[in-house]
Amino acid sequence: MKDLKHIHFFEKLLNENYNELVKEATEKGKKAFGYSCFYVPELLLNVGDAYGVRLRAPNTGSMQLGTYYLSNFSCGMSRALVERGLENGFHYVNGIVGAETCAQMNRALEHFKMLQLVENEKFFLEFLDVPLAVGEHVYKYVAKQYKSKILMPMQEKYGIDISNEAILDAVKRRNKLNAMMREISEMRKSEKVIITGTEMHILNLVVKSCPLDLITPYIEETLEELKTRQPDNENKYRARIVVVGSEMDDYRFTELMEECGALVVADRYCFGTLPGYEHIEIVDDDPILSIARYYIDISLCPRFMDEEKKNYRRNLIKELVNDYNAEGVLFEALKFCDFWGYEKTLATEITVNEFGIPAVGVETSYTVQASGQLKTRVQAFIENLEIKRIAKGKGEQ
Amino acid sequence: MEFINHFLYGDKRNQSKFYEAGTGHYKRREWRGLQDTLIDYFFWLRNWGNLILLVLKAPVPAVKAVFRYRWMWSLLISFGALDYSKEGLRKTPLKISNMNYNMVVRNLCSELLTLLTVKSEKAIFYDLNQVPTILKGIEGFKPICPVALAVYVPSIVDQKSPYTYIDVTETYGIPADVCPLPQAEAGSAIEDDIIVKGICGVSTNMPCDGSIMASSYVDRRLNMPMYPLTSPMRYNNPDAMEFMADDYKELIKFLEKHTGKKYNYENLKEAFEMVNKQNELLLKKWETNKTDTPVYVGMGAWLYRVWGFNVTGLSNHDFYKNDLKTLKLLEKAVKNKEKVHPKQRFRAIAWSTPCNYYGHLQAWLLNCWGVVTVFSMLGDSGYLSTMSLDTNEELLLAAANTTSRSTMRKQTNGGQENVLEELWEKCDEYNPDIVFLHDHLACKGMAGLITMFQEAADERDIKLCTVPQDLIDSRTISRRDMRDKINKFMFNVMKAEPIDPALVDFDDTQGH
Repeated sequence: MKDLKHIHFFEKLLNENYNELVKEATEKGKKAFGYSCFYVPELLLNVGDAYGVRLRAPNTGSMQLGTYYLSNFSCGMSRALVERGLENGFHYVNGIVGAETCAQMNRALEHFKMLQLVENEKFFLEFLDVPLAVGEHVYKYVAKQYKSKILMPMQEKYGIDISNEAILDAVKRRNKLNAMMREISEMRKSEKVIITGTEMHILNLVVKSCPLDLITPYIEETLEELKTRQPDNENKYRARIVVVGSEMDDYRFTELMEECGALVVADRYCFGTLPGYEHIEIVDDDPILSIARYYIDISLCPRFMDEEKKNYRRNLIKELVNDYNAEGVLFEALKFCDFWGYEKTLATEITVNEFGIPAVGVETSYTVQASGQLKTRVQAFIENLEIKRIAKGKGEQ
Repeated sequence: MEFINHFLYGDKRNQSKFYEAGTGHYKRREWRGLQDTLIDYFFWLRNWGNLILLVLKAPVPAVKAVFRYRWMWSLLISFGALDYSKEGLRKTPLKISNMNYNMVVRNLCSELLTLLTVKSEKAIFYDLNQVPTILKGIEGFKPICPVALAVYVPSIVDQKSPYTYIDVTETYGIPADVCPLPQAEAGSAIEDDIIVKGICGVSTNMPCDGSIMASSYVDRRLNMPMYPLTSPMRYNNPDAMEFMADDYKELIKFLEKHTGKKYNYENLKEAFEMVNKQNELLLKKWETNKTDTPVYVGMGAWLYRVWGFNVTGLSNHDFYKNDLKTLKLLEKAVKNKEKVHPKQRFRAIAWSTPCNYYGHLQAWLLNCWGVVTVFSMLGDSGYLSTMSLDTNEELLLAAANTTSRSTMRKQTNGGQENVLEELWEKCDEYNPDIVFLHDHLACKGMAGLITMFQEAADERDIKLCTVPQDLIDSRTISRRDMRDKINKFMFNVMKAEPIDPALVDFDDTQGH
């Protein structure tokens, strides 16, 4: 298959936070705001002259300082962010919005304030308090915080236009991008490989790491290119899998899985496609309430405690396997992530024993460099799928 | 003469001579002098009386439970753990510890009796660390918290009791780095070792990420309608309490639906009037420790609050009466400038979550190093200002304010200022020589601040000793290892000599 026109440019963009597009936007006077979690409405960081970037720490090597301030038991991502902050790697960010949804990331971001890691007098750090259930009272509580903790500081400190018109414009722009990303993602349902999991992972990451307006034309062009892309005649992959799990902001994890022969056809993890690109409907008089509704409803984070959400997120895995014609599920949990540590284990059992779908649970580190063992696990899982396929074939005969 | 002195005033406070090597079990009980031994013995009898009464009231379920649930065995040895935490105490501190423990034991027996005998359709399950006060509004139904009796209490009285549950969970596939308390909760569900009763239940997101996820496992085992009460994490947010009051309204609808009962706000009001009263007395009790002669010390102080808060919901009248009595004793002791130990030298604050399997650490600190712990973080759970209770809305706000500041959660959630800045305020109030910071290794929230604690303490010239521990898994860091860390700190930083050198190092690894 011919390389996508912009794929190498995208890879280059992912190599650093202050990449070409972020730099361009900053030089044009746009204001960057960082966020750390799916619970933060990135959409609202794109109002007026603002743009949102998800905090990452590409090419992380040593995490000694991050470990010193957090602990050996903190997840790699939280330590890497503190480390990158200490290296002045987020100098261009004007504010950070976190979510008190995970203790480790919460502590990591608190260090940005305590250690004053961003030299900017106007810099602000806010935390959203997102309840673990759904309901009208939840939406209202969250919407209030969107106003007081995101929009108001943006306006008061940087003069960002936070009017309803500006918000609706951001929704429109975001919906346009979401529609394109959904269309691309749908292509993965095809038997023939039109887009690989690695390419999809790269697209997801650039969308989250670059200014919305600057990345959208590239996604548009890529979509058009994909519509006419000629798949390889020969399928080099040994199995199709769904990946479900926690933070994974290094596309080389997917690359590693695909090098082993497992084509990642659906990505249901933080930084993945599912969920995140649904159409945003403004159904309330107050657009912010609709946005809160959207983010709470689509989230599949394991911290949601109500039965409906729990059952939905587990049943969804079965649906993904069917819809994307996959043979197995790989559950990944970033090491030391409490939420996914528990969820991965229970979901694996449910998937295997209740749904009858082959599944494996693995722990990943923040950087792919330390993931030699992962390769072995993926290879073993593929062999397992192949054996099952053979056994199934014999049974049918 | 010596014999008479010993008879009247008790053993010299060198506890090590009572210990068996390897286990730390007692060779014999401490003789505290005639009067104090009689007091101690009186409460010992009362505790056993409560336990025997429990068995007499429900002999068949009690005996069955002993053979069905492994944690029942741990409860039977619970009085031993209480003895450890009273080591070396005399007079007022001894009496108050006994009074507090007796209240806990009485209530524990009553809870256990309820758990064993209540009909499933007349019980409402609630999650560990939830505050049951809100359930008072549903008449004719008993709130039950099986996990508290299966995991929490045994982890304090018997360090080995959680091992099975932790191992089961890890074998199941949950990583070993998670907090062992929710891990053991999940394990008790996987192992099918909790009493499954209740027409419906209330699960909770408290106090931490691990416990949120452990609820998944417990709820799955219980398999009953469950309401997830989600207490705001950033409880100081201006809108947070209003949100939680709304969440309580949803909970009440849920309870009414599943029990068929109309919620009675009068009961809730009565309960929260008691909460206000108990909070007021609590503040007065801690106030006495701000003096030069603090006597409200030991596990008896913090465990009493934890139990009162999380199990009785601070609405038990007997606890209130006990508070009144203990406060009188405390005030009298302060007036008489009574000392906890004749050789006491240092004041300390115990911060962060204490180690369950070494709940009696403060007794060792006192007897070995002459350290009096003047404040324990778990000792002031809850919202301590007087709460207005005139309307239903205010009652729900009171419930929200109380619950969101639950045990462990009050400080460890809601932003670093609740635990880091709060400590320095406590230091100003209690004037400690040392802060012992319980460094619970698997607590991701607190572990992420240990360095900032250390750096900030250095800036303030506060002597801070981090004591690594693993909450309920003594195999990770043993009691002996914890003592070793403290000993090094006392020798090297405080330049102190132990008041009982034989207590500096001994082996109790194999003990309960």
